[in-house]
Amino acid sequence: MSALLKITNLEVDFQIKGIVVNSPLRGMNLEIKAGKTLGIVGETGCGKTLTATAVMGLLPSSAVQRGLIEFAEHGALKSDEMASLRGSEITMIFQNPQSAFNPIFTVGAQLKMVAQRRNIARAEIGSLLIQRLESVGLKDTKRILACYPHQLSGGMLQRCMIAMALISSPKLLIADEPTTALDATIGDQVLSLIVSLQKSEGFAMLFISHDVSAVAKVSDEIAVVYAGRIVETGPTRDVINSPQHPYTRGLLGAIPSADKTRGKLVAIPGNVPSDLTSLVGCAFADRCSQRVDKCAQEPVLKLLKNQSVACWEAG
Amino acid sequence: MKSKLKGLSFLFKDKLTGAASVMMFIFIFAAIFGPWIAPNAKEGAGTANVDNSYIGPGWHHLLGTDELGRDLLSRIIFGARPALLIALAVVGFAAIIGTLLGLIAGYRGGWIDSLIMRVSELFLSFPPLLLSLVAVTFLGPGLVNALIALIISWWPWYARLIRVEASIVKSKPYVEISAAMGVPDRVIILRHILRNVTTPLIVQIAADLGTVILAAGSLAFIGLGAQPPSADWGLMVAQGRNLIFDQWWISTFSGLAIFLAVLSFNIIGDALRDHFDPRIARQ
Repeated sequence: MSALLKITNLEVDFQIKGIVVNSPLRGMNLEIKAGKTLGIVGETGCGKTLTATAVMGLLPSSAVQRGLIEFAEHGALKSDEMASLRGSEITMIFQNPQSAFNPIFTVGAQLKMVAQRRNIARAEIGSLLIQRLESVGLKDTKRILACYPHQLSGGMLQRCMIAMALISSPKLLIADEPTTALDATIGDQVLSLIVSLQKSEGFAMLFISHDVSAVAKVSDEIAVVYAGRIVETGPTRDVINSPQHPYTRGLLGAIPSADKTRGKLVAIPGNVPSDLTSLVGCAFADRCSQRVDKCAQEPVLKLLKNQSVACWEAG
Repeated sequence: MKSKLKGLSFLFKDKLTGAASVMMFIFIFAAIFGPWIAPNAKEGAGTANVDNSYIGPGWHHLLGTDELGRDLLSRIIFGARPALLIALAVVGFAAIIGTLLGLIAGYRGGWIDSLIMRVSELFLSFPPLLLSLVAVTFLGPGLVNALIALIISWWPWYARLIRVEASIVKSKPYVEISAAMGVPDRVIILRHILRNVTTPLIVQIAADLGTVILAAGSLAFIGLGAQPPSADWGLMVAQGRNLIFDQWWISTFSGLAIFLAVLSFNIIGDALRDHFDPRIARQ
């Protein structure tokens, strides 16, 4: 099966007056097959959201983008083509549902603004919205449409946002940390909802999170991102069960678990490097416990059994 | 906001604002019903009655008569309509032009933002009245030209105000999300952003109405605005200027009309601002 979304060597630089001030994406490669889910994990500042923003064509004007983004039968996308796919074939849900809605309009009015673009007859919009809200597990939909955002809970608003994103029956849904702002139980419900919606609607998903357990729950494949590149990728089960890259092991070691009652959680020392313009060698080397001399050179992704890893020591 | 406007009680929240509101209502009433309530509608409209010239304030002519024997009270009542129309026209056009340009500049950013802002700064670098004077001098004196001149010097204030508000709203997550959901720019600007800038816009409009009346009066006073025989307050002050020591009432009462109109509009502008933005309300 060919890929629905294929990103090849995507690089993004931020420029101020022609001078490159940072290069947060340094060659992303990823592929999502129709109907499947790719989860991207990594710490804050690794370039997860930036990848999504680039796919949506919503990069700020100071960003310079190189590389290929190919989508379904459209092939390589230019930014004006992205604008036409945005909101129709590719949609996105975001982190914070409370700030995702304009406080001065009702939820219904905002859903309508999105629906109006779809050449749907005016008379049908109302029933379409109600049907959409019901499909995300909301009851009392008439009342919810008439509510202002502050009158609804975070979980309800997140469901409304998912409904909003699915109005156009997209082929690809980008979920940027959709559960981060919700408390654990609600977040879990939203995850299950997304998975069941994906089964019934058949859209592919790019699921972005720093929470490895959330990603493991929804994704078919995982890509671990560090400093603007993928360091490890493969089928979810393989990556979770036998992580090869020290960074992946670090992320997995930092997950609290109810089974492990003893022992400290392992933290990765240090921070993500903030300036990537002058980086030489493996970006993770400074924080890595298995560092060797060869790490002064940049490792490339190599395939081991099912997963690919960018580390000299792996395999 | 509809529900906020429903209660107009804030217009009477204290004595000062109450007095200003009463003044404003009298002013608007005079502007609409002038020809019916003026003691002498013919003279108000400009018919001379030279036999009666320079009668001091008294029972027959409450505020006296001018050099052509016209009842001054009627003239002042007739002056309310052009004053209000000028104020509304200038502020209206300036607000429309300025808001459109400000929305585009604030939402688009980049070179178009720089262009619009540099042009507006060019206009703002002259004192407003001086700019209007220059414009009228080029266009020639007259009411319509004075209007155009005032709009020229007024729109940049709106463009700047709205640009700042628009660029604040633009960075809100819900605007970005609307874009991600495929809502077109036009809809985002007209619904999300315009709706969020209405409050500062209303406040600015209310505060400007008075100032525009004053500026239009100033242009008329130096002979570049309304021309005789129209009933214009600034013109009337100018006509009575040479007689101020003998026939003091002509300049005094027409000047007082300008003063009260400007003052009441400004006080109401303040009240509106306090009402819509409680954070900066007076203690």
